[in-house]
Amino acid sequence: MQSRQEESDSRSIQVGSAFSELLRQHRQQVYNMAFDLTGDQAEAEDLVQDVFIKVFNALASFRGDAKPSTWLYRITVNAFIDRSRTKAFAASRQSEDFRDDRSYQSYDLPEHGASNPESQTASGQIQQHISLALATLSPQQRAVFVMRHYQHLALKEIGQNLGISEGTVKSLLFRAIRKLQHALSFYRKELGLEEKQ
Amino acid sequence: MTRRPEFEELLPGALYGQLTNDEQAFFDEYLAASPELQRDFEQAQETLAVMDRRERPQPGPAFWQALENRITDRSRASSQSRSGGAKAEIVALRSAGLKRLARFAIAACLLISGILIGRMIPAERSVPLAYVDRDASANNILVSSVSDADLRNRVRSYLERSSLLLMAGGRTGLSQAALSACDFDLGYQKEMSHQLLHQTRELQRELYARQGSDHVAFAALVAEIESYLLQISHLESMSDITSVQPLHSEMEELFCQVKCNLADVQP
Repeated sequence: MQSRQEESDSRSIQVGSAFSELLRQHRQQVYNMAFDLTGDQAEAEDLVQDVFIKVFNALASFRGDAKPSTWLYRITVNAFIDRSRTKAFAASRQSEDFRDDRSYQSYDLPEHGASNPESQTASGQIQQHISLALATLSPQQRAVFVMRHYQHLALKEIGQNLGISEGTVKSLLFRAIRKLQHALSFYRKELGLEEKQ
Repeated sequence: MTRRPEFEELLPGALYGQLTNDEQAFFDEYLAASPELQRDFEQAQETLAVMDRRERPQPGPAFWQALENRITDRSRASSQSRSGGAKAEIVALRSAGLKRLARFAIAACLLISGILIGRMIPAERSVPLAYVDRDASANNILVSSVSDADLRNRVRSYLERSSLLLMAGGRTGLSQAALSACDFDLGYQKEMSHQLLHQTRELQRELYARQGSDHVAFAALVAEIESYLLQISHLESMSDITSVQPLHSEMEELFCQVKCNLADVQP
């Protein structure tokens, strides 16, 4: 009994030190990905915590078939999609409660010129608009876009990470870019880019 | 390359410089032939340039330290609970600190008060539903008062009702013509979806609280069904039915899965 306990303790120590190393090496990558997916620091921190708890629990069974970074991307995206599902369900319950309240909209994009310069800096507004534009994407579209645009993964690599074909990646990315284009069209007006037409 | 790819297929690769020589040649032809596509390409580039202005606020070193500590505590707690039952649970709570213990004690007091108050009020439902969420943000450890038999019945009822919706969707492939032909009643489907969605979260909590592999598998299935129900429940009209498209191919498979799992929860 004692030897089994010692064996278990020693395994725990090994897993613990491997985990600490993994956390130090990849925490920035996971946080960046989490922030790009959620668009909010507090949510990103929660997601990072979820991811590393999952990583810790699965570390002993990680066989090294995939690169740790690939493994972490996959866990992060899956955790994000799980959280999105839960949030979508919570939102559906809320929208039922306020079904007749037309003022309730979760992702209202700003009207052109509707921003409040007194309460927010220009930079803060841009960040907010980018987050809102990203929020118009489905979780899968956002995952693909973030992996390509912010994490600079090749289309093929994204497909491997998410377990989907390269064609599906292209299709999701195309739809994501179209939605972002639409959501940020007011920026083109603001920046004078629309005058090119 | 035998087939000429569509502009839409090439655009993502073109924006990120990932086209082969052949693909780039096709893409250039599209741009040369159509000023509209040229403009479209430029707009997409401008959009990505706006997206590049994104900044990421970074968490402080305290966040990382706290995360490492929390997971270390968690690992210690789980290894102790594996080897030592109730005694280990107490040790784990101690190692997590007095703060956590106090939080747990408050939650337990609230639960007991809730149960006592609940017993004083004549219940409309025969099944008591009470949960204790012990430091949910840290551990997701749930304690449920729902019996296994009751949970089995609920899962069974949920799967049976869901299977009816999935069967209707799967049989028609959610094509408008097929749906009209078989009198697909959108109002009824939405109502059923809403009702089932109300049960989903509760059911998932119960299933995850059990932590057995069967329960986790059922919880995963419920999550799959939930994504379908959410889409149906938000449809405004029959003309929006195509927005449920991404699930078409999985509908039959999901229905079969539900049918198979139903057999596992027969009373």
